[in-house]
Amino acid sequence: MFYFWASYTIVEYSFYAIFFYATFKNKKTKYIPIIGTLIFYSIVSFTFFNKNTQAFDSLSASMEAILMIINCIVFLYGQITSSEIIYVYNTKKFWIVIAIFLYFSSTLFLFLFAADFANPQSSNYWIINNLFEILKNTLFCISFAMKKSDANKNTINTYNPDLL
Amino acid sequence: MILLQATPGSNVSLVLYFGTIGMLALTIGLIVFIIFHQRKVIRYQLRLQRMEQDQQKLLLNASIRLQEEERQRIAADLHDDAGPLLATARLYLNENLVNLDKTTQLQSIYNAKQIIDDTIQLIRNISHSLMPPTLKNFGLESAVNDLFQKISGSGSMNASSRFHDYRERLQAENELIIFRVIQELVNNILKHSNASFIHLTQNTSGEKFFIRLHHDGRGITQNDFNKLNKSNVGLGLKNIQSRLKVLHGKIFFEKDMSQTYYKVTIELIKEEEDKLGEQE
Repeated sequence: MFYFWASYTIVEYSFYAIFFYATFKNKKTKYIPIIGTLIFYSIVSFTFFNKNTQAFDSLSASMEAILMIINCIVFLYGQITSSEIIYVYNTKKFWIVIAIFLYFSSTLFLFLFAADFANPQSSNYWIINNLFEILKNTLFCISFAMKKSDANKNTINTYNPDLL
Repeated sequence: MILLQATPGSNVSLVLYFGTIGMLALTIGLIVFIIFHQRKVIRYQLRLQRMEQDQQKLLLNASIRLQEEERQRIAADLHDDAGPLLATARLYLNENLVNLDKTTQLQSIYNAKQIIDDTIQLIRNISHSLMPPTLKNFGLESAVNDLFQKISGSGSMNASSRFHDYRERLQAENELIIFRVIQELVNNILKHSNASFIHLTQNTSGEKFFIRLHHDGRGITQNDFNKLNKSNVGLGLKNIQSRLKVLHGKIFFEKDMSQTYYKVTIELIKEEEDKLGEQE
């Protein structure tokens, strides 16, 4: 089962890293997912070669969660400092990032402790993961269901001040 | 990881629950903060944008009103002065057709000629007020000197001007804008300040071009200027502001260090001026 979980983590991380790389517009921030990927793959390689008897790849999953949280914070910081004023909650990317952020920040501690759980215990705690997995997918659905945001539509010029 | 592995089972579940709740609270807090912060920024930007729009509206109205006033003045000059003069000349010429006496005919032709000369002079004056020929032919320095000499010549005020660094002329359109601004300022000083002297100096510093006006009458400070700009009065000042906006210039109104004189400084960027000239 270890290799199955590890492969899942690698694929999941890779997709998210590509997403963040494509999302960051600033050249400097684009280095963050690249550096994160290098760190992540080094840790994954390390866990592959020094595999314990544990069934869940706790170390790489926790590392993935930490790196994703960093990427999300960088994205949100970029939204605050951006000179282009677009309502952040009107964009698809915002909801995807929020989904990732909520999921990984809620499951970080679960992944950290996952290696220490005995089997019956694990099924009790795994409900946290399932709940936030549902929340994450719901937020993804909201994002995918949103109409493609027109840059002008969400800008300050067309904003109705009475709604504030 | 080592630390976590060392903790007993019951403590693990406690750390896990509190850790998860803590992380979740932090995340939600961060998201809410970002959304509210952004709304605050947008509100501020909106207010700024609205203020700028209001200001632009005021400037536009001022320039439209001034244009209309100028048109009315030209129309009045033509209607009240040139019209009657030409009508009188026509009367004299008509008399020639009725009266066949040679001496009377010559006298009326002479009178008509005098009136036509007056009309030509009048039209020339109107044309000069629209575009001073000195400015067109000899540049800003000569036009300003000419204007100040005329004011000084009237005897009511001592006016002098000095250009320290004006070897290269600015673009003709920009010279006209600056001249109009100076005219408006001088006009304001003559009308409202009760000053006994006006002194104008021009100089450059790097890429900046300065024109300074000093006078010893009642003047305004930058605060007064900003207030008048935002109100519905002060048409001339709004006109100055809108003219300078074309040149991306700035104007400062202040009291002299000695608190005796008022100083008006017009600041332009020479490069900007060149770029505008190229665009035109």
